[in-house]
Amino acid sequence: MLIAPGKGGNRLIAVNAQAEAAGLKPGMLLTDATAIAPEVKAASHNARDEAAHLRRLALWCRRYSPWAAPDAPNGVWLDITRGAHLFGGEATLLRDIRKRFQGAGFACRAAIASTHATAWGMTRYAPSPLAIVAEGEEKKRLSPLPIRALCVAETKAAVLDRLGLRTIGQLFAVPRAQLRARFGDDLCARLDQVLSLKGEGLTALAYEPVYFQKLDFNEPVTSLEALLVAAGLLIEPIAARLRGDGKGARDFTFTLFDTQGDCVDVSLALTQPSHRAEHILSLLRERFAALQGRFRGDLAFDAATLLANRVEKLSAVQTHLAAEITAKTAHEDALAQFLDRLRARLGEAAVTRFAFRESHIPERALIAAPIFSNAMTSASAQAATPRPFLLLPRPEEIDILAELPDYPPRRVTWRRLHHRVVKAEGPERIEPEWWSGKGQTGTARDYYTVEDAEGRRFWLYREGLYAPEAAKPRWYLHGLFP
Amino acid sequence: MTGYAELVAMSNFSFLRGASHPEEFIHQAKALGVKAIAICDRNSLAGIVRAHGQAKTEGVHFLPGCRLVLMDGVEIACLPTNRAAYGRLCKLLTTGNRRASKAQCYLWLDDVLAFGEGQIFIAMPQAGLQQDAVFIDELKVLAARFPGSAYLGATPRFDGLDARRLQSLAALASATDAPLVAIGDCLYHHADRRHLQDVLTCIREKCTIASAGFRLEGNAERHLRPPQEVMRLFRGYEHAVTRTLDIAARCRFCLDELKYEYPDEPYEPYAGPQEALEAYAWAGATAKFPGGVPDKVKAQIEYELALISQLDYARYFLTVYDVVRYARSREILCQGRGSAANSAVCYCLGVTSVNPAEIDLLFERFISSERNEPPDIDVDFEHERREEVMQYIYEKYGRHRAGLVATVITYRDKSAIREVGKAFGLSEDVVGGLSGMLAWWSESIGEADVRAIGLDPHDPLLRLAVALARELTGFPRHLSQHTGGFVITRHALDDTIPIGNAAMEKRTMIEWNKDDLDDLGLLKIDVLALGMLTCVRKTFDLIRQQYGVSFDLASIPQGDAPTYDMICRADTLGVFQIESRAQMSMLPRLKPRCFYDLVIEVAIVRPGPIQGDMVHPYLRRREGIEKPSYESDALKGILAKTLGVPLFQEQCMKIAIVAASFTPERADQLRRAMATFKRVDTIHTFKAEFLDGMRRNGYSASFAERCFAQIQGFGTYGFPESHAASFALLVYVSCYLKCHYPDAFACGLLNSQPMGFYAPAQIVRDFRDHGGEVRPVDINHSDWDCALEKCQSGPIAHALRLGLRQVKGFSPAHAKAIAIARAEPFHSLEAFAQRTGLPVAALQVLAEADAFRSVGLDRRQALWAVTRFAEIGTPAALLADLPLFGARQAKPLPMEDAVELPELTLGEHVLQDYASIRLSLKAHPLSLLRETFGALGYVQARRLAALESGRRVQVAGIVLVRQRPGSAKGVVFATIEDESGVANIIIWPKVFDRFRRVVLGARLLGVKGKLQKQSGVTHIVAAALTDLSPHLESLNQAVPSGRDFLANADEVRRPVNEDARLNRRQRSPPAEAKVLPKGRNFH
Repeated sequence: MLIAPGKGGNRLIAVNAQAEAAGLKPGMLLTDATAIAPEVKAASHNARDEAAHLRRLALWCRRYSPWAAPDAPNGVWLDITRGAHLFGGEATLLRDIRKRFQGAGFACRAAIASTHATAWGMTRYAPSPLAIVAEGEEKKRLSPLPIRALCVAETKAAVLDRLGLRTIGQLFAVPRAQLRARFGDDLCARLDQVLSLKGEGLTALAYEPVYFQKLDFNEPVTSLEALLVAAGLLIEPIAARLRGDGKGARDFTFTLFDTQGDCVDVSLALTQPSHRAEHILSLLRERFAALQGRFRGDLAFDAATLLANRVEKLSAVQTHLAAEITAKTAHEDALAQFLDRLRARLGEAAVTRFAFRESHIPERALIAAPIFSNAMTSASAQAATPRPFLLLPRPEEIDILAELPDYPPRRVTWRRLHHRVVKAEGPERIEPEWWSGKGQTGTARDYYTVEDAEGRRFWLYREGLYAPEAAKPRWYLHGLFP
Repeated sequence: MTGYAELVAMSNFSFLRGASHPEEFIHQAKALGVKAIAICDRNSLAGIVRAHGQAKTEGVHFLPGCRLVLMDGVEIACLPTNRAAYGRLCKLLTTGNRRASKAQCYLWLDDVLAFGEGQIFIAMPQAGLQQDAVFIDELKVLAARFPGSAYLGATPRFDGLDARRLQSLAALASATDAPLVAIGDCLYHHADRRHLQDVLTCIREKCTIASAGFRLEGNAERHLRPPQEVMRLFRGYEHAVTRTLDIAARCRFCLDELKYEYPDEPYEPYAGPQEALEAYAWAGATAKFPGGVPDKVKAQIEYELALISQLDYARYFLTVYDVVRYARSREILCQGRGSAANSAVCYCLGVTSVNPAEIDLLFERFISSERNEPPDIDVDFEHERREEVMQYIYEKYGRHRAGLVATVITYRDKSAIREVGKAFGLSEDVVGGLSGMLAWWSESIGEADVRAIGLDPHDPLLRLAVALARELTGFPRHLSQHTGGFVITRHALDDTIPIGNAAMEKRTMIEWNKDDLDDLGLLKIDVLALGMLTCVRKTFDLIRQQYGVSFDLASIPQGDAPTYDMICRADTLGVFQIESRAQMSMLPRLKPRCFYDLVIEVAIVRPGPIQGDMVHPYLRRREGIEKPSYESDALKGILAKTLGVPLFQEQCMKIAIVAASFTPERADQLRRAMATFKRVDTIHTFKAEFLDGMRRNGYSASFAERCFAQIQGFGTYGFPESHAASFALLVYVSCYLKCHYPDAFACGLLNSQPMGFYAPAQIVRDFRDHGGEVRPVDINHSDWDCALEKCQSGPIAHALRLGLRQVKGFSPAHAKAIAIARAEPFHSLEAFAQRTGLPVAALQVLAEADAFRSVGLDRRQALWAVTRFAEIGTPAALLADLPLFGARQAKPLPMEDAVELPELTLGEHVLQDYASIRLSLKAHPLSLLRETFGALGYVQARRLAALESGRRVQVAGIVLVRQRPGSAKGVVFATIEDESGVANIIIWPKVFDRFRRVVLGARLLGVKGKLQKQSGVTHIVAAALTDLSPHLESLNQAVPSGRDFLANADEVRRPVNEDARLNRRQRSPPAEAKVLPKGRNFH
């Protein structure tokens, strides 16, 4: 079950078949649900991810029509006007859609109608999962359906229900004026829309220009080389459009549709937005090289699409008069392209940079973060006490001479060299992060900054606190100050 | 001179910051040899009484203090040096509290300066190396204003900078003339608490432990240190350490100095409060005993008055007397309960109603000279009108002299695991699993339970979480207001305790709870709310109006045979206390015939006697199966009235006195030791003493052991006899009313909802079963409250007209509008809408309640008509748009052709009735399904009586109540209702586990099981259960939610846990309760 905070606590948003069988329903309180069926697992509902996912499904649907749009929370609009014959007619098209969605693990219902409202209602409330409503039959086909098939507000639906008006057919029977006096123009307009008396604007399409190309192959393609050629054909027009709009994209998704109803996404993430076809193609080549082993020999693709995402305006590149600035820009470009190639070849995770992490433990305070993560780089994430810029790869054990229990050492012996300590500060006591490390708590450390007679500054620590009966604590050098 | 005093420690009363109980600090200070310790919580003194109490036992010098957190971020520890300075600190905090909303305190430096005389201030430097300008400025101001009393705190932080920091602070100290003083700035008493403190930080910051980062402390150094260690850490600054002792020596204020002074009550024309009290008491006695005060009572009064005089409690009694007098003057019913009912003086003053001539009083249970503890008088008032009494107290004494007592809300198992789980970032379902396991009834988490929900009990992270949750359990979480305890003082109360705003409007409260007040000898009076009193008063009013008979609590005829007959039949739905299922099943066995039987009935069906296995011996003896036996005549004297079975706390105390030679005070200590499980050790000393005493008095060792075990079995749950007697009075009164004025009683009961065990549906049903007529909600007849209407036929004189209060989602204001507009009857819906001016939503609610029948519309037709207004506006709204003079001639709405709407079936009507008013007068849903169910083999509940015990039967009904009492070891008791009556179901844990989903989820429950009959009580022991709810849906698509069927006491909707029950009973309903399913009252 998916849950989200609601009135009175977490409530169920959606349940799967097993949860439903256990008696759970959307809208229930989580506490009630766990009392009834403690075995059902709960996961937090993430509306943003869900919307993004639906959007991806809509994008995938563009293989049927360029006019596809998500219809939250669980639908996709397709305008197939004059396009159905390409797929062998409406019935075949519907079956194909259902087959492919089911292949991908979705439950799927679909309907074709000549009015928007009819399609919406039939899809969700028709007795059969696939339905085609011929023009002029809308009223007849919708009449037996419940009024909720009209997509009316839930409060109005509840009132209608109590009035005994439960099917759309009953509503058609009521004089329109009386209905309008009670339920307003919306409901009547909706009834009109069913009959397409009142136009319903198709706002289904994305408002922003979509940089998208599709290529259908005459014959199934199996070789990577051929796919790369296809990619080139797809990239060129998109790159040209981007260039024309003065834009570049940071994300490219190359999607291959196989003959089994599956699809494979190959995504590219760029360091800088770009519209340079040869760069993008070279990155794709890198990725394909990495994918080579993963393709099964029997896979064949019948279509491919390319979508540019995260489109940004490119500031017009100005040629600087001063040579060094031009050189700098060029240098940054080159670096960006190099990084892109590295990431394309090695994978996103392989290219990292340093970032600070709020941890008192020195070696955990610096982490390798993906190059485009928003991990902290500012000094505010650093510990308050000055620490060496670089730590030794692993602390090196040293011999010391120090006064008990927690005074700084007088003499340090590191790599067999003796250092007489002249100045010292500390201790900085750092306790282990007791919650990590699966039960091993570790011991506290006392860090000292010491300076020897020659002015070398060491950062060292004693592992464990001094205790009369415990073994003699060990000392380590952890870093050097410049 | 060596030694160290810890001057700044934060206890867990600095909520979600401090990680140790105040007591733990004191104990640790003693163990480490710290000379003195101050608890300084953030803008609060809530924890100091506990610390004080512990310090007294351990012999530690304790300094009450406070950490003032100013609005500009500066923090200053404040230690009052004497009583006057302490009073100023309280006033300072009161000032800050009253400016802010609950649990906030807004203070600035100017406030500190204004109340600063006699305080010692320790400015708390910020964590970094440098102090900011605001801090330095304020330190300078403090030092200049209070020379010699302002200090700069310094504490080793082990962040590597301590040496530098000490140096810079020392420099700052000499520059500002605020000497450096060593402090621990402790967050916990022992370094081991760091883990818990980290978790508290996460709870506070609403983050997980992994993401908390630098919000957590880097080490575990903020604990209490031994003096030598402090000395070592302050090497070179030793004077900062020795200075702590000087400061501690200057702070000589001790909480024992808080002398409670009762408010003066006017005692004219008498010489003094004692004289006034005596006069009132004797006058009362004469009035209560018109035939002359019996000698026994006279002696008791004299004894009590002498003790009251000796302890100087007269003014306290006068205060309570005054409050009660006020309530009576406003015709608010009230009655004392609890231990005060042990006092003949209270009886004579009219505070309590237990007649000392009839019940043995044990005054020591109430007041004793040896026990250094003030008396505690609890008075119940009508729950709907208690606020009037509370506001009277505020008004009479002023907010600076009267305050509500606090209740410390602590983490319980469930809340602790939830919070810790969140801090650990455990996934929603793991946390849900752990706490959901406790979703029903709170029990502690065991290993097997953990495994049962699919978690690995050996997962170290989970173990850690559970261990920390255990540690967190019992931590104070926030302060809430006590259900009604008031502290009233003669002089300013804010001189003794800080006063703050409570969450409820117009309420102010103090920071200490009941135990704290007891420890300091502060008197409190409990102004409690009791729903039954509201019901009784409303019933009295109805009887006066309809029958012309005036009653009050005292004038109800006693010993009425028909009333007892009714009780013996267990025909007690709706009455006080003996209406629960457990009580009802006991009634036919106990067969109460006199008042004292009721006292026993009230006391015996309690977890204490049930767990102590006293019920069955008593029943056997009562039914004559077994002969009562007494070990000695002395014990016979104590136990004869309960047939040799100790049922009351007083009896236990008396056994200790008579048989084990305890002094009365010692016996009371024994009672208290039993009540608090925490003091486990003390019970052993009592046991030895008890057994020894019994032996010396010639009782056998085995008998003595049994006696003690029995006493122990009682522990917390046993009722004092006086309390049971107070309740029994109300039991009798409510039964009498139900017996002789069933119409008025049912009406009063409905008008007092939410209260009691049953929902309106059952009350109405019960009334109809007795032959009463109930009339539906109607716009032409119903007011907000239910009312009585003359009735031509039938055994009951009046018919019950349901009020608009039964209609879900309707407001009293709209009901009033209807009443005003109803000078002449409404003839049409349009006229109704026009004259009342109700908004469309309200009209819709009425339509759905089927309240337009008298204008010829059923609910569907009415809804159709009303819905029209939604778009075009109500007639009243249309009128408002018309010019002034046109109003009367407003155009009628355009005529419409009739629309044929589908006719409602009876099933739809019934279910919509439930959805709207939670009951239906038209039919019972089961009667519509009977044909189907009959074919399925379900029998009517009524027929069970005719079937023999042990038979297999099948019944189906709407689920009214599901309960799992703590005393019943996991057995679930459910009550289901069909059209013929109710059936009681027993579900054993094994069966419950198998049918968990059905039991918890079904609205309509089918039960297959074995019929069990014993002493006239019929149960079905369930073997299999079926969820028949879909059958309800077959009646209509718009099915009411499960809640609409449930009675008040159902525990799935409202989990009850044993400890909270008492509190719950006293809580007044929150404002939104009107729209929620009724009732928090539960017994």
